[in-house]
Amino acid sequence: MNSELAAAARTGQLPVVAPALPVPVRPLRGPLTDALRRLRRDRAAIAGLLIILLMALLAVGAPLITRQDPIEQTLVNRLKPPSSAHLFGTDNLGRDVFARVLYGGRISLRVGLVAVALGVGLGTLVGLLAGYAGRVADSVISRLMEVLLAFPSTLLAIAIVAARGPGLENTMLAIGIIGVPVYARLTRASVLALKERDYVVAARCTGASGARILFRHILPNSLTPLIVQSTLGVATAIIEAAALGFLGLGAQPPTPEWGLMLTDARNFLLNAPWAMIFPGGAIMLTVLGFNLFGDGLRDALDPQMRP
Amino acid sequence: MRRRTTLTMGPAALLALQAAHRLPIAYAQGSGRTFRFGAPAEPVKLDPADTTDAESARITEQIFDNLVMFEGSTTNLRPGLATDWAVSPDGLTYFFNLRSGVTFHDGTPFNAEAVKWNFDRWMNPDNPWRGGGTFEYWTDVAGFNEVIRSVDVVDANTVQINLNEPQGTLLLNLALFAFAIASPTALAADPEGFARRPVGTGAFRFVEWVPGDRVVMDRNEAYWGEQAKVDRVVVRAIPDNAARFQVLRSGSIDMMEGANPDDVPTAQRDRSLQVILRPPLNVGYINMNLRQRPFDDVRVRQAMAAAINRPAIVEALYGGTGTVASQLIPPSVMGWNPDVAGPRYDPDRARQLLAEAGLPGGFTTDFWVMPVSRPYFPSPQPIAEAIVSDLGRVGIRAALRRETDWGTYLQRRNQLEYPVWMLGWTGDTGDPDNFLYTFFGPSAPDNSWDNDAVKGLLRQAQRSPNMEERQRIYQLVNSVVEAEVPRIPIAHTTPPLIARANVRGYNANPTSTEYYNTVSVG
Repeated sequence: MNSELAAAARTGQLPVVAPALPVPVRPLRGPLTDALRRLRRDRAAIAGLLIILLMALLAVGAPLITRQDPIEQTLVNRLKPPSSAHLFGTDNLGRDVFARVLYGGRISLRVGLVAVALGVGLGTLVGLLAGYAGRVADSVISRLMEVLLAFPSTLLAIAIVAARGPGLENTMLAIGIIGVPVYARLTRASVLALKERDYVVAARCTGASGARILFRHILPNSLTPLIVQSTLGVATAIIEAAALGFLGLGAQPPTPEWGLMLTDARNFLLNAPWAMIFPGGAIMLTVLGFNLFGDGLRDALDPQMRP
Repeated sequence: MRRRTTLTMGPAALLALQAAHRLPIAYAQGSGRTFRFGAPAEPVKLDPADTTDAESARITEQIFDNLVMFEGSTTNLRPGLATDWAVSPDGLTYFFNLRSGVTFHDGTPFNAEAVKWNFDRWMNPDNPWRGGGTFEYWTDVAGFNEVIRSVDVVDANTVQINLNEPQGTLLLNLALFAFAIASPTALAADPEGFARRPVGTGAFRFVEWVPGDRVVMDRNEAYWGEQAKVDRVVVRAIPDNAARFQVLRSGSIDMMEGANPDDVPTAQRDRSLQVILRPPLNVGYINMNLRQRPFDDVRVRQAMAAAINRPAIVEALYGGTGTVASQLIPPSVMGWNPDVAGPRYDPDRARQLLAEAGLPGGFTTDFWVMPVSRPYFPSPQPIAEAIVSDLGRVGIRAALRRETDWGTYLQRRNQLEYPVWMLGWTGDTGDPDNFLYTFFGPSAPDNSWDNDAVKGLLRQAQRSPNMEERQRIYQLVNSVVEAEVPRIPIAHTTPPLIARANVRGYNANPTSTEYYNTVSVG
């Protein structure tokens, strides 16, 4: 061996065999495990997750938790303060506020999730196209997205709903659309950063199609910011939906939607504050949950962002 | 009177509160000599002849006088710019003796020429001083276009009005805010600008109109009648009901109209405030398009009426200021029929009527909600939700539909684009003609009830000078309406005004506008 080594040294040719020395190695750990560990240590994020789970549980289990009908009116019972019969009191038309808040959770969570799914879906496609398709398409799409972003988001949502008519479906559509440019820009930025990476170049050299490169190689690696943004996006969507409901453009009565409940209750703020406090509190808590969790996710998934 | 005012419920509360703090000191201080009124909307225009909304009339009543005027809080007539009057036996000629020594605020003398000048302006569409106005009250409400032929000057202080046909309600109609006498000099100088700078003979003269904020008027020291007790009147527009109430509680205004029903008990408990109830002269109703299925079937309309629990709605949602309406005119109006009981709440009967009409499973329709609150529907949204919920219990599945713009709502209902909608009426004169002719007369655009017999009866009653005959006709019409249910009466209200405790002498008039010369702020 020694003579061989010496010979190799002399000829300048190093052996191809690796030294079989036992080197101390850190236990193998994927980036996901890493992120989960960081997330677990983040108390605020865990609190956020618990809030989200709680609200989701209350919404899904609404019929099991309360026997009251969220729509049934009993005018003689209007504006009754919280009691054992009506945990959160009753509203202007004698409906049970507790039941309305629970069922309202179904609507708010659904709007949040559907709107974000719509925004992420469309936004990602648009962003991939802009980032990968080249200069002209990129310029056109980017300018278009900038125009959309230039509108105050609530105003744009109001315009879309006003054009298509008020209602829950159009609310989701409007909130989805106002999210598109945000996700499109995020995706485009990732695509631009990733498409010159070696593994992408390698895939291209092997003759992989554009779609294959985009969806197998680039998209999975640009998911992190999208996940973070869409978690925060759910919170925004819930607030936007409540705002549209408050303005009379979102869910229509008698739907137990939180924003709509606020509008109904605001005239009785002094006489029956419970009709406003509970749906308002539900909005606040849910949004807080998504925001805390979203912030935690960002810290956990994107170590570079950490201070 | 078509109340085309926007009493929006929008989130303008903060803005209004902010505005309250930015008022100049002179207005904001309770000086005791300024009467500050909070109105639900700003006036549309201050030319009374071309005005149709209560918010404009609220102000023009202070600046202008009529030949005959309503007395205090009644619809009894008192002499105004005319001291007395006489009617020829055939009812076709009216003589008015005019008050002498009266001048308009701009110094123009008031006389028979001025009266004739105003009538000529109202009656002749080619008159050069109309300022682009349409003068709806002259034609649509008073029907003067068919009744009044000409006006003659007899001498400086006497005018003669010549009619084509007798009109029993002529004097009442002349007391409408729309037929106030304006200064010919000011109008001739600027017919278009007059609506922003009105000049009359009233107890107050116009000072300024700050758009979107307030109208200011000062006492007319040379007023012919009772001198105003305050130096200045400021009418502020505060669109949000709740915000307006808060401004009143803070003491930045002395009085307001258009309270949320649930704020009325709060005001009654507050010793610094007083609630003044306007005498009832209105009706809120549900209208249906009778030219459309299934509302062409009287049994369906009766089922609708029987399905709605009107007593529960009035009890819960009118803050104690409403009474259930048995018919489409309030009890104080001539022709109210004591034998008409109105629809009785009976959901079983409603289901049975639907079954008889061939709709055992009910039907689906759209229910259009008024976008603004008016005295007869103080909170339209919850009232509509309650009605729709009642209808749902008998199988009538009505979807709540909402128009955001009041003008659009009124226009679309005139074109009968809605199957079911809510609306109402506040009387202008206290005469049944002002209600029933407006609802079911031959020229009522929102009437889909093609009943020629009723139209003929209403025309006949309008012409008749015999009050007993008129009363019989209106009672008959009210009983036909009960049987046929072209509209479902819901409620009459005593609209609440809320004032600070030191306001005295406010005569709330059933026609919804009153004179402020009797008001004092202690």
